[in-house]
Amino acid sequence: MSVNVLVVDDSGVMRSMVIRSLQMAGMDIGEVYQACNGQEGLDILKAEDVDIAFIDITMPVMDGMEMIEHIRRGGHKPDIPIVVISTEGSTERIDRIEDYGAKFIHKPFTPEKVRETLRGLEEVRHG
Amino acid sequence: MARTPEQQLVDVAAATFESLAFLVQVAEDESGEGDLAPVCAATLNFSGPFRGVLKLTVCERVITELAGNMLAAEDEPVSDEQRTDALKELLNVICGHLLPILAGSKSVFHVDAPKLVDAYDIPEVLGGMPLWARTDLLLDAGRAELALYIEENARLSVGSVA
Repeated sequence: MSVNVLVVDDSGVMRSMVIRSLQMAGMDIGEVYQACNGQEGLDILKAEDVDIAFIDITMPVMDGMEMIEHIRRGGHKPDIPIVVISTEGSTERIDRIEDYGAKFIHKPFTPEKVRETLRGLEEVRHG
Repeated sequence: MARTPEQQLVDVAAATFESLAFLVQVAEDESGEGDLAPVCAATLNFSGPFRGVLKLTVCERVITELAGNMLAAEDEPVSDEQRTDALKELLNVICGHLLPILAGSKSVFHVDAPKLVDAYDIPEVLGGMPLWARTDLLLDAGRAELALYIEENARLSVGSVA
């Protein structure tokens, strides 16, 4: 079954790289939605049928942490699987991301890393 | 033996160019033909345990191949916006890897969005901060230059601020 994907990153080049890596990782992608910041991402989550979100942290208007907090604290689709793809190097921030039940991928990444992370998400969802 | 600040910059930048855009560090005589003059530069400000600015300058062929490789655009044209976007994203990734080395992995920094700046100048002081280290990087696509400015009296995990 195909998966509808939301990619949130202020870099269009990086959004293209994420989408290409998902395809190379073998993900059966349905619709692809793209947003330049957290606020746009939240708007798309409300309006569209998104199955998984890939979110950067450092973005203008609303950053990725704020977006994740909105989602998990009773926002639209609070249980949606989230993968953070970021340059973040602080273990404190990465721990916070994982406390929200999100997976973390460090930039730069490989399709193999994406595949491994998606497999981990599947295991969590299906026990 | 401890790595010098310049070596740290080279290590992080070379690894990032290679993993993000498949551009490999080479010896001088392998960098190929073409004009190595800087044509495009971006800076990124960060603040946290200390403040600083990171500046990345590249020549024409590096920015062209950087964007083309990141987009996997083999024969498709790459726009100016995509070229500068690629440069800014690469700088962002370099900074993300550099800060934990400089300040330790537990340190939390706020990183501003990268912005395009004048390519023809590596001043001794930028944003009120002195130059801490600079390095030239020769890649198979040409030349890149990375300069790091850090506020005085910053406490770093490596090197020291003069």
